[in-house]
Amino acid sequence: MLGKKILLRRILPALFITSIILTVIAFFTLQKSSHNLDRVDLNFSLETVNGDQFTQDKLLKKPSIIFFGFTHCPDVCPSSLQLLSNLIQDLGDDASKINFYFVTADPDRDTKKILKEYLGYFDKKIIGITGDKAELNKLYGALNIYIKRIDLDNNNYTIDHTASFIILNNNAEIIGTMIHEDFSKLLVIDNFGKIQFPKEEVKKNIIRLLQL
Amino acid sequence: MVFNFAVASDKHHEHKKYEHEYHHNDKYKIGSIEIEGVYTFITPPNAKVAAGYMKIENEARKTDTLLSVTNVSFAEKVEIHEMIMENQVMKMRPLVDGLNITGDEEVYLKPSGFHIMFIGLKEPIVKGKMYKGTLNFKNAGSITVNFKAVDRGYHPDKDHHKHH
Repeated sequence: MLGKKILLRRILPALFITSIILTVIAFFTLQKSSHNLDRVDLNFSLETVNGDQFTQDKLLKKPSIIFFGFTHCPDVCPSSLQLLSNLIQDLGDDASKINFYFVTADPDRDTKKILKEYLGYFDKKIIGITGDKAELNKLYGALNIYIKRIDLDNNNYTIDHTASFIILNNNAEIIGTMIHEDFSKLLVIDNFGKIQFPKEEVKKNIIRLLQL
Repeated sequence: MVFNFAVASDKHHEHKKYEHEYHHNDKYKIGSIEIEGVYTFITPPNAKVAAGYMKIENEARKTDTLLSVTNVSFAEKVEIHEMIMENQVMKMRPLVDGLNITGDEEVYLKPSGFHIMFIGLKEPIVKGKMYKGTLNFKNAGSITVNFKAVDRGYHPDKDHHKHH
């Protein structure tokens, strides 16, 4: 009897109040997260292929377009770099308002020298980024980039990696992505679905998304 | 974080798109297998890998299999690979049992799909040069083809007018 009374008078009201509080907290948290952009706020410390430091502040001056890949990649990485080079050409003067980065997914094989020479073949505005694995992992994590080494025969390996371009505004917030279509075109996607971009106009879409 | 990965590639549709326009001078035939549009991309400095592409048609009723590519002097190793895009993640895997070409069907080796993977390049792939390799089929036998080195951005359907 006593147990039932306590249950009715104390525990049930307590549970009721707790559930209301949790609902209110959940409501505000969800509302907040749907308005907040994903800001890259990790203290990664990396290097450009030219030997300059590459830290979070580098993402705060200008918008950035970032691709993750590796030089032992036959298909998607060189194709992406070519498409990015074409976009930079199309952007003309507007290209100088954006930073373009190619971040290695394979720091063991992509040294600064190898990466620099490799990228020299593409548009010179694309800056190679490499560094310690642990530091790179921070950046992969911050930008939600999937990178996984897959061992093959004869000590060879390949890397599964996210093949979309990440677009950050000058506040280091992810505002969109560019994805491949048939490896011959790039499609711009607004992460928040506010803008529906016409397919064929990559340059215009980038200018619109970044409000250049 | 919200990602919109809405675009799924419709492989069948892509193949259809190439079908009418894919005409090349470099036709090869061995048994019931016909091959055309054999190319590879020129490589950036330090590139240790390259990929070879082509269209393979099997005119037989029975499935044939491209088992291997041999006699490649410009690379240490050659494999047949499949590339898969899954949620915008690129995955590349060797096809250890080879690439099947169903009877009365054609298979396109092309960027974003199947490719011949040249591993450990001994020399860079230079524009205009031809790179030899022998394709070994289970039923049709072996045939040597020339991979033509082209600029990246080359598309067999778009670019073929320029070559005639």
